[in-house]
Amino acid sequence: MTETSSPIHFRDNTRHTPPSIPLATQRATSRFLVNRAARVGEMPNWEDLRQAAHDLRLDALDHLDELIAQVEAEVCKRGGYIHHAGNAEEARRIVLEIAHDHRVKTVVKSKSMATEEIALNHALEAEGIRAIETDLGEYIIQLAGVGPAHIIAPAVFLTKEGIADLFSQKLGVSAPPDPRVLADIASQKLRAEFLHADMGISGANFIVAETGTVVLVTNEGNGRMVTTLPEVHVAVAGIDKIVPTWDALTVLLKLLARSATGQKISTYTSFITGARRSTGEMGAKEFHLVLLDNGRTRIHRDKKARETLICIRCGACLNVCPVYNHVGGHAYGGTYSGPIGAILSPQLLGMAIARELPFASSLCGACVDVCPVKIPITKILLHLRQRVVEGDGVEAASAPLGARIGAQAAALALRVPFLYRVGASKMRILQMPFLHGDSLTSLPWPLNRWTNVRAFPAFKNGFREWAKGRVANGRTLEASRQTLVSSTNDMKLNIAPRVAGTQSDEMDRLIAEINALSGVARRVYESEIGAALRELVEQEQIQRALMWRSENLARWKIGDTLRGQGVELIPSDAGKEEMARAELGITEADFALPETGTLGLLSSDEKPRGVSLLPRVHLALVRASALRADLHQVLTEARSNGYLVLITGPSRTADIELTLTLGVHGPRALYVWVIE
Amino acid sequence: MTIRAQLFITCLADQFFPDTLKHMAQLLTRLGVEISFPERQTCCGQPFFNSGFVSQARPLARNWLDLFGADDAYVVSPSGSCVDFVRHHLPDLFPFDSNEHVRALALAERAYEFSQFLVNVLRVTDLGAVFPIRVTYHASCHLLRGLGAHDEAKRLLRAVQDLELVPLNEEETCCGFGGAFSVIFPEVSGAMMSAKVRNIEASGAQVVVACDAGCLMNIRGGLERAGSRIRAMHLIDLLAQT
Repeated sequence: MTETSSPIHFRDNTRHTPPSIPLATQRATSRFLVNRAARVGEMPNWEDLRQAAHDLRLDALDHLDELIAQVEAEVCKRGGYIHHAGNAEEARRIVLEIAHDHRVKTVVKSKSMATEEIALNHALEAEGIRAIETDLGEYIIQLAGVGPAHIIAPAVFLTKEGIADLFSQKLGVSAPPDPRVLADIASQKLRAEFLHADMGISGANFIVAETGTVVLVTNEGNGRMVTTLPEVHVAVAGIDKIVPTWDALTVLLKLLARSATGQKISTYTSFITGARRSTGEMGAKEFHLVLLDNGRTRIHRDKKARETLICIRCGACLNVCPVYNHVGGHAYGGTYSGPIGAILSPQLLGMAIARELPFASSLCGACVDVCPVKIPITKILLHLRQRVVEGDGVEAASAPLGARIGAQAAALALRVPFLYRVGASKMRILQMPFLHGDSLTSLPWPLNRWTNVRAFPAFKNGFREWAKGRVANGRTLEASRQTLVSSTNDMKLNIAPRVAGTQSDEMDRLIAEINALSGVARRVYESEIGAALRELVEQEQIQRALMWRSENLARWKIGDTLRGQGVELIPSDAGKEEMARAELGITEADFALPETGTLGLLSSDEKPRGVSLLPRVHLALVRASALRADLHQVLTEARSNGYLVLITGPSRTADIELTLTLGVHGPRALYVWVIE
Repeated sequence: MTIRAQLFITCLADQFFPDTLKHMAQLLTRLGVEISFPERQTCCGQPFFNSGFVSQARPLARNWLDLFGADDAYVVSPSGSCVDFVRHHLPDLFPFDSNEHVRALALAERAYEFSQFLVNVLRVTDLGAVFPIRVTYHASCHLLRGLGAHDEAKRLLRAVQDLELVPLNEEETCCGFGGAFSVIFPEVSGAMMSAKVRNIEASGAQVVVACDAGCLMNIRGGLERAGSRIRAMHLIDLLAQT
C-alpha cells in the first residue's frame, strides 16, 4: 500500500459501487455486530467500562510526553532500542537501517496499520528485502496489491473464488474455492517463512508505559510467530498506542475483542517486554520499538479533535456505519476507513488530500453509540467540516471560494425575515415549470443531484397565512433568570472485578468455555494422566513432541510416558527448525481464566515459547492453583515477568468469507486437562 | 397552571409541510397548551453548522436565541434534528460562559421535539386519534441518538385506535438524508434510501411514520421512485386523524 499523496475523491470512489462490495462487507459486519451485541448483553458494567476507558485514554494523552519518556526508559533498561520517528519517511529509514545492520533478507510482518500508514513494505521491497505479510487477510491483499478494506478483516471484499484465482495466479497453486483449503495453503507457505525470516516486524495494539511492554492482539498465531522466531523484532506503533499502566490496559482489553468481533477475548494476546532473556526461552535476541508521530502530536494539540487519538482500532464504528456498509473500505482512500477514517485521515493527511472525508457521513451517530472509548465522532466530523469550509488554527480553508460565497448568500436570505418570506414566495413561482403533481421530479444542477435519486417535494408554504389571526405572535416577558444546574459526575469509576464461584464451578466454567471454542477440555485425575496421554498420542498420531520442564510435569511422568510410546522428545536447545518438526507441545498453564476459557503462559528457559506455538497439537495441563477469577489478577501477577501469552482456544481465522478455519499459524488442536 | 409553548416551525416544514404545522398547532391547542407563533423566525442555522459554515450559522443562531429566548415558554418543534441542534450545538457557537452561551443553555432545557413534549412534559399518550391502518416507524437519527428518544413516538402510536404497529427491520439505521450529505454524495445517500425503502416494503406496513421532515422528504421520494403505494407520514399528521 503506497502512502496517499493525491486527493481522495470519495464521490468518484462511490459513484458506481459494484453490488458485491456492500454484499461482502455487510456479511462480515452484520456477523461482528450480532456477536458484539451478545457480548455487550452479558456485561452489566459495559457503560462503566466505556466511560473508564474514555477517561483513562484521554488522561494518558494529557501526559503523553511523560509516558513516552517512561516507555523509553523501560525499553532501554531492558536492553531494547527505542527510536522516535517524526514522520513516515523517518520511520522507513529507521527500519531500513536496522534491516541493513542485520543483513536482513526476509521480513515477516504481523498486521500493523501503522506500517500500512507509512507504506513500509514498499520501502523494504525497494531495497531488495522480501517483506511478507502473515496475517491471512493481509497476506491475501498483499498478493492482490491493494490496501486493507476493514481494520479487522482486511480482505472482506474478496470472495473465495477470487482468492482461489489469486493464489493460482500469484502462487502457482491450483486450489478449490474452499476457505479452509486456501487458509491451509497460506499457512503452509508461511510456516517456512516464519522459521527462516531474519526479522519480524509487528505493530502494537498497546504499549504499556509501566514496563515498556508491547501488547499484540490476534486470532491467528502469526503475531506470536513473528515475535518469537526471528532473531530481531521491530515493533512499529503510533505514540497514541501508549497506555500508562497494566490496570488501564485491563480495562481496554475487556472492551477490544468484544467490540471488534464479539469474541470475549482474541485467541492470542501476547505481552512482549523486550528481547528474550535466554536462548532457551525463545523470542527475539534484539528488540526495537519505533514510535511514530506522523501528525499525531498535531492532532493532540487540537483540543476539539484530540479524542481521535484514543481509538483502540476495534472497527466497531465501521461495522455499524451505513455509509461504510454501502461503499466498503477502499472508497475512503487511505489506510483507515469508516467513521474513524473519516476523522483520522483528514488530520493525518491534511485537507488538501482528504477534504471530502469529513463530509462522507450523514451524521447519524451510530458510531458514537458503539465506540468502546466514546470518541465523539460526529462532533469531530463537524469540527473538521468547519476546517474545510472556513479554515481554523490548524489549516486554511480548502473549500472552493464559490461554495463559501454561496453559503453567505443563502445564510443572508434565510436570516433576514423579509428576504426569507420573499424567497419563499418566489420559490412557489419559480418551481412551476418543474412541478408534476405534488412534486418536482427533475431540477436543474446542482439540485439534480437530489432529483436523480428521487423527487423533491413542491414548495407549499401556507402555515404562516393560516396562523395569522389564529395563533398569537408571542409575548415577550422579562426572561426569568434560570439557574444553570450542571451535574458533574465526580465519582471515580470503579470497575469491580469478577467474583469467582466455587473451585469446582470455576473448573467447569473453564472447561465449558474452552470447548465452546473448539478446544478439547476435561478433568483428568492425576492417576489417569499417563493413560490419557497415551490415548492422545495415538489419536493424534504423535511421533515427536516438545515439553516444558516443571516440577509437576516431571512428577506426572510426562516425559517417561511419551518415551514409552516411542515418541521422540525434541530438546528445547535443538533450535527452532528442529522444534518445528514436533507435532505435540506440552505445557503447564501458569494461569487459567474460567470466564473466557483463557490460559496464561509465561516463558523462560524451562518454558520455551515455541512449545505452545509450533506444533499442531498443544496440550496444556492446568492445576486448580492456576485458576484466577479476573483478567486483572493475571495481569497484575504477570506484569513484571517480561513475557506472557494468553491463549483462548486453537488458532483461527475468518478472513476468507467469514468462514472459520482453525490452525492458522498456531496449533490446530488445543487439549486442556484440568488436573485433580 | 397553563403550559405555554412557542411553535418552532423549522424552515423545511415551513416550506414543504404546512399541514403538519397546522396539525401541530391544533393538537397542542386541543391539549390545553397556550401556543404562540413568533413570526420573525426563519432558520436556526443547523444546515449551515452541519456543513461547516459556522460563521454563517452563528448569526442565525443568535437571532433564534433572541427570538425564542425572550419568552420563558417552552419551544416545541416537529423536527428532532433541529431540536438536537439547538440543545447540543447552538450553545457552543458562543464563547463559554458568555451571556449568549448561558442564555442558550437555559433555552435548550425547554426546547422539545413534539413527541417528546407530549409524552415527557404533558405526560399524554392518547390524543383520541383513530387510524385503522398498518403502520411502521422509522427512528430518525437525531431524535433517537441526539435526543435519546427511544419509545415516545411508539407509545403515541400504540395509543391510536385501531392502528396496527408492525416492526421495521433496521428501524434505527439512517435513511440516508443527512442534510447536505444527500446532495454531496447522492449515490451513497440513494443506496441508504433504497435499503430503507426495501425494509419498509418488507414490513408489510401501509404507512411509514417518522418525526423529521428531512427523513420524510427522502423516504417519501424513495417510495415514490420505487413505485410503492406505501405512504410516508409525519407522526403529527397521523395523530390528527380522527
